[in-house]
Amino acid sequence: MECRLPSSKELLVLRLLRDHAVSPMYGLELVKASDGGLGRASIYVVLARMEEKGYLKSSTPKGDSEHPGLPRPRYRITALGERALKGAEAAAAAMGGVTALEPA
Amino acid sequence: VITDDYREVPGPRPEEPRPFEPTMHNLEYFDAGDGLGDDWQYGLDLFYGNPKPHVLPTYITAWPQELALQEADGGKGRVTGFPAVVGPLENKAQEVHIARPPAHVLRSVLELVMSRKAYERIIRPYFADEFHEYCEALRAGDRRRALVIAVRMRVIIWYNVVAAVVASVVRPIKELIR
Repeated sequence: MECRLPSSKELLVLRLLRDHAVSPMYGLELVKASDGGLGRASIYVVLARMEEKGYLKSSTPKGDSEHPGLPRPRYRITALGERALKGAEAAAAAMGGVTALEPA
Repeated sequence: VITDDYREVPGPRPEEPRPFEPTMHNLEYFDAGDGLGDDWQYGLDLFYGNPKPHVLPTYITAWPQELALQEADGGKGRVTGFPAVVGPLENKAQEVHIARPPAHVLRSVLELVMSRKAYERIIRPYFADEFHEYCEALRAGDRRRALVIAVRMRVIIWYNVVAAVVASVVRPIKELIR
């Protein structure tokens, strides 16, 4: 089985979701919280890829009266995502303070 | 006026009474300083289109001003009907009904063209987020920002579509080369 470390963008998303573990986040919330690390154009591509890998789980609440229209999916980190993040951080620490890991 | 060399020159003309101008200054009712504060802030709110003015106007609302005008006019009746009694100005934030969300045709086309999985995971969440921002901008009365969001939405979607098409062409070529 091929095992890949999360990319730098994936790691950033995982960190943000872990830090905001109390409430799941919207895509554009992640963009704003990343402070320029994530772009609007690519955020949902990254999130879709991460969901496919099992790092995230999305839930789509039904629209409320204040926000009718298309419901926005919220993303929450999964146990696998947390393990991947811990593993990547441990690997980065072992390599001597490397903060961004690129996929093999 | 007789000058030293006995020439007669026209003297200064007697000052003609200026027509009454019912300005706030002439009325001595509000001068510029009086406008500072809440009324000034209200004017700024109106000027900048703030949908929620800090205060409602209090200075052109009812009889005290009309009375002041009549007094300033000396009871000559030249200010009859002035000022028009203006109540609190309408709040600029209008209730907006969006019949068709921005880029709805593009979204429908993408829903037809793209795979359901890609549409559900990438396109629809993006539209939902931007549409929420668009609605928030309209709710705040900021039509310029709403326009920017509508344009940005189309640009980003087209960027992603073109990137996906290019990737789908390049990927098999790369695998062939390997």
